Amino acid sequence: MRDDDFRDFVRARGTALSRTAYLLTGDHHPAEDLLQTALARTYQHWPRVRDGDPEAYVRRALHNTYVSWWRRQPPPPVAEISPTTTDSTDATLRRITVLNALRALTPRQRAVIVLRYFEDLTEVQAAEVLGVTLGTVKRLHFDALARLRSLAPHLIDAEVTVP
Amino acid sequence: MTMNGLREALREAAREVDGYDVLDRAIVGGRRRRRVSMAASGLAVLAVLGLTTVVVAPMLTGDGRIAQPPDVPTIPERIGPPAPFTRDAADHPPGRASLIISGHQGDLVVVGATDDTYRVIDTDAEPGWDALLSPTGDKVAYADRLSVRVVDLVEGGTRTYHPTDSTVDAFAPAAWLPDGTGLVVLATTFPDDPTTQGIRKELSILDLATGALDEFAEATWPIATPGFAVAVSPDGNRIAYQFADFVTVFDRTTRTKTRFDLVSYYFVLAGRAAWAPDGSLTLLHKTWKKPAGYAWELQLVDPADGTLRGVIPVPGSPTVVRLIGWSEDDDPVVVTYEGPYDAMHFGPGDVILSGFDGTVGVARLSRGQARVLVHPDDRINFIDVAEDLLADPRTRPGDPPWALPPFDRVAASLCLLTTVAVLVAAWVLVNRRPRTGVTPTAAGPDRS
Repeated sequence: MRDDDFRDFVRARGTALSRTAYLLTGDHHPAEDLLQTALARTYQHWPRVRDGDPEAYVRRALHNTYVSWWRRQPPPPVAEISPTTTDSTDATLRRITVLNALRALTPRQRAVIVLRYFEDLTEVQAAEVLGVTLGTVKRLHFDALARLRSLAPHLIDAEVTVP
Repeated sequence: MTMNGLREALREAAREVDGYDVLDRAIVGGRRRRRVSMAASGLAVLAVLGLTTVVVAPMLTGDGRIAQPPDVPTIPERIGPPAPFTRDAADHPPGRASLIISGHQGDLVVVGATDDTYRVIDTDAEPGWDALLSPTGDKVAYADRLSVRVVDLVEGGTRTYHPTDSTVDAFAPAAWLPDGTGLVVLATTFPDDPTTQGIRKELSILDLATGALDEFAEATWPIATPGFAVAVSPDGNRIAYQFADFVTVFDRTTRTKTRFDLVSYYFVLAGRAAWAPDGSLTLLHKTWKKPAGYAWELQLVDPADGTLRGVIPVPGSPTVVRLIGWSEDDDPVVVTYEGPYDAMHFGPGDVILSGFDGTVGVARLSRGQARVLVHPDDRINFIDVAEDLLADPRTRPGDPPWALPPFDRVAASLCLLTTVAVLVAAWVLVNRRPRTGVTPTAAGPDRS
């Protein structure tokens, strides 16, 4: 019963959670590790979590685990991703640009960007997820955008028509 | 600023992920975390219980927070080493003390007079030898290299007293004055040429209020063993001291001295309470008997000429005894030393119990029987008791901080260490990063 509920939940929300993990880590292998750990923590407390908002719990576990890991073991210097000859569309270039730009942020700045612009949470909600004050989120948000603006100004200022 | 560009770029980047197949591994990991967490919780409960019984409770009782009912000064029957982190006597005065103790490995320990408050003094001076508790138990005097330090157990703080002669090589307390206002101190000066005879000893009265020294004896004779060498009469007017094989009595009022010779080197002043209630001087005498080999007796002698007035036998065959007080019934109270040390010869100049590694006790000698008043832990090698408490020696059970015998204490400590190690291992297991992929990095080509 416990496993069935949990499996149903992961099957339903696994893709979205995987994508969040990927945006946080910027690489597939650490993203898998991150998601696995967050789900294992959720499973550990599933009887208590399932009656509330399990997805919020996993999301909180994802972000907190990610920040915790990178605090203990900062990522090594990054090499920029370059487009291949087959990756030449605008969308691909934008994808590569944003991943490279995210890597220049601190883990908490990156988490705030993902929460605000991928998860579409408010700053108050982001603060709840990260377990920090609203003021901290505002500062992280401001610093992250300033950094992104210097690295990829077209991502910040451009109006994009979503297809 | 709409941030649509950033939003769209993030979604495009995320779309390359279809979903990671981590469900089964997450369930396995979650189950392991649950098992480890439950085991760790159980061990944490055990650790808390263990800590409570082994460390916290003894510390609480040993620190006097569980007060004994009466507010009357009493002598604890059971005493032991202090708990870890016991507070300093000078900084946190415990009030009047009933006794002071020490072992080979540890500071001097002060035990409260009305409850089992334990305090420590950072010194290796030995109670009864070169660390002396005042008659009322309100101060401790001890030798500290070239000075004598006095800790006030009631008001707190320490005063340091130095000899007036800068050539003195050792300065130590020898006896308290009965009213606690001063000390008899011994200053020792070694000759410049170590091959020559003649270590100079000076006995003086140290006024604690002014620090003034009043020298009343000087000699190059060997002086009797510390703890035995000097005795002050109950009225504080006469001081008996032993050099070599003779005893001198100094009258503080007339500043006159009388002297008598001891029969042999098998006699020594019996200790700080050598002045008996009837005005006799008490000598400690070693006698020979079969089959035990030897026995001790207290001989009461006339302080003027050493004429024998009476004998009090000491039951058993302790290594040695030291007379520290008299009860109101005129029973002598002694510290008994039992150990491997051979006290065959304890003549003048012999530090008979230097390096003593046996056990001590306090006993009242009455009608040929030794009634034990204090039975310290085996790790206690030296003890001194406030003399005023011995007139009417009331005792209380005593609750030493470390009541566990050594084996149980070691076993409990091992259990505790094991539990802590398991908890740490559990934390590491629960929080370790899974190794399902390559080393985490933000670099490298994306898998798309």
